[in-house]
Amino acid sequence: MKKTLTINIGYSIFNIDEEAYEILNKYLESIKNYFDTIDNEREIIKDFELRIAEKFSEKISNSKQCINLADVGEVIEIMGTLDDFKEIYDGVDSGNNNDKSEVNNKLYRNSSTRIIAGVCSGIADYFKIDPIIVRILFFIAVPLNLIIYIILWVGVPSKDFDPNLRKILFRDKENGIIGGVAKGLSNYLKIDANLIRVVFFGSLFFGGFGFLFYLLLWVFTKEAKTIGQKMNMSGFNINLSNIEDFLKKKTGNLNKSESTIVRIFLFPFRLLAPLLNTFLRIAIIIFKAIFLITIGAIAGVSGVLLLVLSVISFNQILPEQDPEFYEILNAVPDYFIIVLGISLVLTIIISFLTAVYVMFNKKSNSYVFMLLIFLWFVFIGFTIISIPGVIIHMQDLNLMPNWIDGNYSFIWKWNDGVMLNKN
Amino acid sequence: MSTENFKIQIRKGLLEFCVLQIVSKKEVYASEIIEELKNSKIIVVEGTVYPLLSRLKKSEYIKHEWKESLQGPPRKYYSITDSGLKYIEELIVSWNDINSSVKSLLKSKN
Repeated sequence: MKKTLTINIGYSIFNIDEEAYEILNKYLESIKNYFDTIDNEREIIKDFELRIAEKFSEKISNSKQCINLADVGEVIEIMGTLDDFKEIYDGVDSGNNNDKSEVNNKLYRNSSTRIIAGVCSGIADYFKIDPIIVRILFFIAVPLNLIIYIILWVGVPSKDFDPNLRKILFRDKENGIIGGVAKGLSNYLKIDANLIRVVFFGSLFFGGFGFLFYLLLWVFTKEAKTIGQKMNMSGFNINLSNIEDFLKKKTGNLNKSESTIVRIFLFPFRLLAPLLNTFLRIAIIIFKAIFLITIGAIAGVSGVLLLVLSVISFNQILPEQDPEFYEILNAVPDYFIIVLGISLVLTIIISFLTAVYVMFNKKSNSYVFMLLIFLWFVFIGFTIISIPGVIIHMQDLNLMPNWIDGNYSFIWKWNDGVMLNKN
Repeated sequence: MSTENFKIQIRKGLLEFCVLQIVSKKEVYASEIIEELKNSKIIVVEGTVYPLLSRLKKSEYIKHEWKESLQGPPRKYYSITDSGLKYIEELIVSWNDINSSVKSLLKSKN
């Protein structure tokens, strides 16, 4: 069973497999981008879509009602990819030439060929040199490079010169050994995966930074799951060999060739992989548990405080019952009690929501949550700011009760001049 | 230089000429143009035709019209304009010139 989408292309409607859709979408996107400068009225792309629709309708029959990846691959083969168009149109009327002259006039961060923020590749474009030279120069210039890099990152606008080449760092678990981190990095940086593995492994003997780095990347990068993500790992480039590769991979015909040395080197890691995998999973669970317990404790304490606060404020205490306490209570300004109460309520709500998000692995991108956090900061801030005022107010009324004695010295120090005069 | 590269260069130069030629004969829609170009092995992939048609239309050598079709959505039919006819005559003249000079070059070799 597969999930399908319904698309409207060239005035016709088709059902299409999810992965086929992803490829088709990227394909049309790449054409749109390539002919962007000469295709003002979106005419070329519409012609493409019409023709693709025609081809699709030939593929559809009663026994086959859905467009699949093979169909899309076939259609792309017939229609041609960017490589084919470049053959005919480069140097004639494609807008790419204009783009390049623009590059040399102004410094941009090139986000298409970037590794971090495209600063180095942008500089390389500007001076027409290989980015690797700039990168090495930057790397040598520790720690000045960091400052320069950040300044350029902030100050120089970024530009996507070729969105099809935009890379995203994913974990390539399918082709990886443990978590696919090294393989993902290798796809991203276009360096041999085994080299990266050796560096990671080697760092174990020099303080183990690599291990930490590996864990961080493991936790913070997503695994490439959909076909689009897999293609984005090394820059999305629609061409036939790419699509064929995916078709082959799906049927499992792609045989990996590894030399014996590589196999020997990787053997212990292959053995360790399941062990490390479980270790990480357990570590994450423990982490979550600790986090949840902390949040629970915060929420619990706030709840108790809130309860005490509400009991005190809503149950009227008569002066005869406890004259001293009555006086203290009256001395605390109403606004302080209200602000404190709201802060506590907010704390409880936010803790609860955070706990839910963490437990169910949800991302909190709701504006409500943001607003709550903002309000929480405001009210907590207000509470903290008003505490000294309240204490001074009570001191003025000579109402520092016995139970605050422990803190007396602190207040004394804090409010030196005034206190000396009072006593 | 491989023969493949040679073919690409020739095709690149002649594509516009061939498309105009096909359109000038009768009103056609894109798929028919593609079919004919494919049969005569001028193009390999279909996508190369659309940008060219768009450019020719912008230079007002050809125009298009939407027509209902029996199966499926309406189709774009292309036909040649007066300036297109004039342009193609010029192209034919220069083609004949080049053709004859190349032919005579080939003959003189033998």
